[in-house]
Amino acid sequence: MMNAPLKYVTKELFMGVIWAFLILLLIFAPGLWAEAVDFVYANF
Amino acid sequence: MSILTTGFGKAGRAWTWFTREFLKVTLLRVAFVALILIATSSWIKVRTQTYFSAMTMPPSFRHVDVIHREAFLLEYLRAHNLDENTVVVFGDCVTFGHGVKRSYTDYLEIPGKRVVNVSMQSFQVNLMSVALDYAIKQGVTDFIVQLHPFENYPAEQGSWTSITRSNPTNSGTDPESDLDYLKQSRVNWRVQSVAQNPKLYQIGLFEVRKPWIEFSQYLRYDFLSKLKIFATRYAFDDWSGLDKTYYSYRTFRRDNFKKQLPTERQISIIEKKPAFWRYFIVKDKEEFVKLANYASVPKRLATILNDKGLKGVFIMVPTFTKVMAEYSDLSVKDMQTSAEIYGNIVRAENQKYINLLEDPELTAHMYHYDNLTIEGQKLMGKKLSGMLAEEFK
Repeated sequence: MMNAPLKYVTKELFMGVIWAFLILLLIFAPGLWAEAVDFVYANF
Repeated sequence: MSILTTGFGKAGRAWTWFTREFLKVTLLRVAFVALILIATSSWIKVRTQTYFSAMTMPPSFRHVDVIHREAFLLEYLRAHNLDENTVVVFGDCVTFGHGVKRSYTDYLEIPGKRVVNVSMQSFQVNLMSVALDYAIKQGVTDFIVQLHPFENYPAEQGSWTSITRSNPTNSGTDPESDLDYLKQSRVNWRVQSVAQNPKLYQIGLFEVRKPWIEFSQYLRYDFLSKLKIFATRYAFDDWSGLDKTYYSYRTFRRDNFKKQLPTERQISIIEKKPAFWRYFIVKDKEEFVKLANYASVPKRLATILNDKGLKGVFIMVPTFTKVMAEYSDLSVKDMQTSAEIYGNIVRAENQKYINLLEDPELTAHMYHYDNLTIEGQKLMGKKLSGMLAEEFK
């Protein structure tokens, strides 16, 4: 299978992607919430 | 952690993973996160640039949430790479096109210059000042400003002087309000957009969006929109052979033809109100001239351009005055007077003034207040190209 360093880098990359996703989610949360509210008021 | 994880089976193992693996800060992980965030923001930047540079006029400001207008405007300006060879056009509905996809600025050819349309759609001096400040910083020296003859004397008085602080359209016109107005134009706009946005309120540094809409607002905008009461207005575009418009049938404007009360009636109503309301009435032409010279859009912009040694051409847009007179309480003479007064103000500040009010060729192509069909826009572009060929050299 994978050797140890490659396994380590892959794991860190995987964690990095999740971290970045959560950070972006945190940054865009107010905007996404606002869009959601707009969408609800515009369509329902 | 052991006390938390002991005896909880799978959940305990997840908690162990979360604390020991996921929350572990390693150099490589931080590097990957930084790399991903940089890549993402660069991509967003490129995407925004592509989006705004494809536009030949800014987005429909009247339909953009107030709090986002400044950001959109600056993104639009950045995407258009302003420099010393750019002529920036400020204006409202005529420059915006209103109903047609391309306005006269697309047909305006000035030798050695690139034309960038910064129409506000609705005339918003504060926002315009933000754009002016940015353009000057980018080295732009040449400006075209589109003007309107509109508004009757009481309305002028109301919007220009007494209510200036709360009116987002004209609040920047008072020349004594601050010393270096342009420098703090962004702050001014920011404060105002929060103040006037019914969906927002401010807590300290934070702008908070209300998750509800007032009932009256819902009734006026959302409910009436659903009934499509005003939707027929832009069916006009279809009949006139325009296949694409900036106004889809969903984004029609709400300020349509409305028969106003005669001026005398308006004044008599105001006179019944408490005494301070009389301050809103302008008595005669002399007082109007005085006010316009003290605080008005042309005065403010012409003064700034003159003070900074920049070149401005102010254009009074064509208007079919007779139809306006029929559908509002404005008289033809009011509009002519207004155009004449603005001309004097602008010329006094060493700026060029072109009066196209009642231009017979252009008014033949009008269909709403001051809005031109696509043929009219083409003609206006061509006409101005000839007039301005020697102007910006």
